[in-house]
Amino acid sequence: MDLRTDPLQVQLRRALRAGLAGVTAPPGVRGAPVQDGPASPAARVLAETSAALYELPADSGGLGLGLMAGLTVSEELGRAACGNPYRAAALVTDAALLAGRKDIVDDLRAGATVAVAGLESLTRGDDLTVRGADDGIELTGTVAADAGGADLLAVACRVRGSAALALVPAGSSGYKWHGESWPYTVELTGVPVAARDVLRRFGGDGCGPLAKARIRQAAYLLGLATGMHLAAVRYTGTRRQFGSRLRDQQAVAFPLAHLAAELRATRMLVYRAAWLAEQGSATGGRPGTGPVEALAAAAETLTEMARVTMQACGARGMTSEVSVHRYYRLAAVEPFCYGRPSDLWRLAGAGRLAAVDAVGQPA
Amino acid sequence: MDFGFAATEEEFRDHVRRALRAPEVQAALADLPADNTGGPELQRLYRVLGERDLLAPHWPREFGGADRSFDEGVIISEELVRAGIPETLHISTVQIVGQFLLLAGTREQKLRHLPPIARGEHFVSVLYTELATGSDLGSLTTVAEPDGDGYRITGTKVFSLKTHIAAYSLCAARTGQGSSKYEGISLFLIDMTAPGIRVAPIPSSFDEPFYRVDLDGVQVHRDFLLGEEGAGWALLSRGLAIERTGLDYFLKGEKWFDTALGCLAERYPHPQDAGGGMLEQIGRYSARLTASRLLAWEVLGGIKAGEVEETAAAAAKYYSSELASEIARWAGSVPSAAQRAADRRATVLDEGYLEAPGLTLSAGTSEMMLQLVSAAIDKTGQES
Repeated sequence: MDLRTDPLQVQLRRALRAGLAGVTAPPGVRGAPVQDGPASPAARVLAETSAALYELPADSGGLGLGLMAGLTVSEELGRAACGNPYRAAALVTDAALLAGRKDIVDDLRAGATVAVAGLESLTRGDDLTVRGADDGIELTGTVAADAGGADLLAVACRVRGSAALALVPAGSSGYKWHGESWPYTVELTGVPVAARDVLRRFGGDGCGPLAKARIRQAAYLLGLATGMHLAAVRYTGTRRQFGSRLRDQQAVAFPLAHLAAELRATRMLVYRAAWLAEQGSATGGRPGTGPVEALAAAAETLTEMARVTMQACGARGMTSEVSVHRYYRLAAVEPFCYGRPSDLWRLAGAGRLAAVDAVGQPA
Repeated sequence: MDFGFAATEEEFRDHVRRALRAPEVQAALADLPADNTGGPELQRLYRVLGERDLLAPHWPREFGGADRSFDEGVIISEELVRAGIPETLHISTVQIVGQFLLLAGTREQKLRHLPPIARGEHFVSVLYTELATGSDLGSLTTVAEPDGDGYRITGTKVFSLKTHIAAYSLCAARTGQGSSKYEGISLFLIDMTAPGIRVAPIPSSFDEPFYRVDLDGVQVHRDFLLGEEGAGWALLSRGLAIERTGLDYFLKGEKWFDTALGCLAERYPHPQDAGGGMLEQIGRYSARLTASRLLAWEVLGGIKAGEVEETAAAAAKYYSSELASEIARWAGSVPSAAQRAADRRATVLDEGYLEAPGLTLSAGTSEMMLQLVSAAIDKTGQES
């Protein structure tokens, strides 16, 4: 076991961090906290650093650096409180390659943009109605989308009980975009999806496209939590109350120290899940739980981080004076849009309980 | 990053598991009294383990080990607990004092003390804290005065474990005064059969008693001084970081979690019947235990490389001890009445509940760990 960060990841991290440091936040403290879409500042940084090529296999024209590189991209986007123009394309690329749809990958490389929707309710499957199966499907329901301004919407859904990814071009019949509020939602009313555009091997095992997407999202949440912690640590190191810095007062310092330990623990779960997925055996005897655990843990760490740091930064944290409000507003949506933590923990817990005998050993 | 073990390490783990299932080991284990008060029986079990190179195989052969890797030494620590071997002695003797001697002892001290430890013949307890000292070890008052070719130590130590069967104890005492209270502290290995030592149990709510040790002019030869005279605080800080890998707390948490999970698996052949709230808790604890183990291995990786990273150790100790304590409080309520009546699993969990308060106190309280992490955050501006 060697838990030191690989030198290549350190280099990627530095390059991305330097680029993302130049991204300016949208003005104001209300509305969407980030700028989305292909023209967003974060997307430009990713383009300049060729981030889309990091994970792409070498035989598809990429650098083949694996999921760990995708985690670094995701974590740095979160740390800088940027939107996430990386995750949807990475997910659809994984699913398309698995389904033999290289044409989709080529479209994305040529500049087509994609957003993902429906992941929030995938574990319960109660927000979407899916009719049909083998000859194509029809989608009806309203789902949250993870970015705006995309050419293609990839809708996570259940077809005959299995997770699938349905590709819906923006503006299709029965497709209504609600971009006036954030998070964005899309209303689908009997939207037809041809059979070849339903990517069936999307869920797969603990190292399939869905699992990898969950791990990337976990890394993004970890980055958000880390950035929020940094913002609070900086502010409480300068703000003085009752004759000393806020950070010198245990009532403020200890919750931040507690969260520093939580960040370390969450990072371990996220990178372990990625390592296991890359090894092709997702959870070392507990298939499927690694990505789910990482995502749920990262979501809860961010949620707790949001509560503690907003309190530590006081009323100024709600103003443009301190950046924690941007993370806080992202934390209203991001911990839940790839699956609710309670649903994810139940999945993980059921898997764990089913795997043991009466003395708690592997059954 | 590599979260896996080498094939040779997996083979070693299998070998250890098989060795711990051997009839001689199981017979010695079965002879232990039901509570944690065993003396001679425990010594017999450890000798059986020592004869099989199951205590410190990662130490150099000349010091009683078997030249196995550092990671294989950690694997031993994990598998002993998983096999139900009472771990307190292994923690204090091999993991703390043994590792301490490897880091800071002279060659002569290693040759003298390590082989009998590896053979399971000698146990070593830790005498740090005192009645008025608590967690503030810099305020200790036990004194070691120069006397002939050594020292004469006087003072009272409290809250040590297994001291009634210890051959030696690692003792912190003051050999002088400095500009700060952290100067002038020295560390000694005390022969527990020396005249002037009185050991008395302090009953506690947990069934393993603490011990009070009165030292009345105890003679200690200078060969039993560890490190330089008066420079013990730096050694002590390194030693405390070694205690704070969090591995032992993870292993306790894992034991109680697995025991509770076994009770639940028996009651609910279909996991969904356990209820959503229970499944959430199982999922959460399972993941947090995984994280706890990884934090411990991260600290251990630093020790292997000769770097004792105090902040990482403080975070690991805090996280793992708080988690183990939380699991103990949860697990105690898991067995059904029928399970309570039928077998020993409920007893294991009841003991865990009683032990839990000590986890976040021993080897540095949670508050001290948070203080250390806070100081690191302050130094770097950001801890991550």
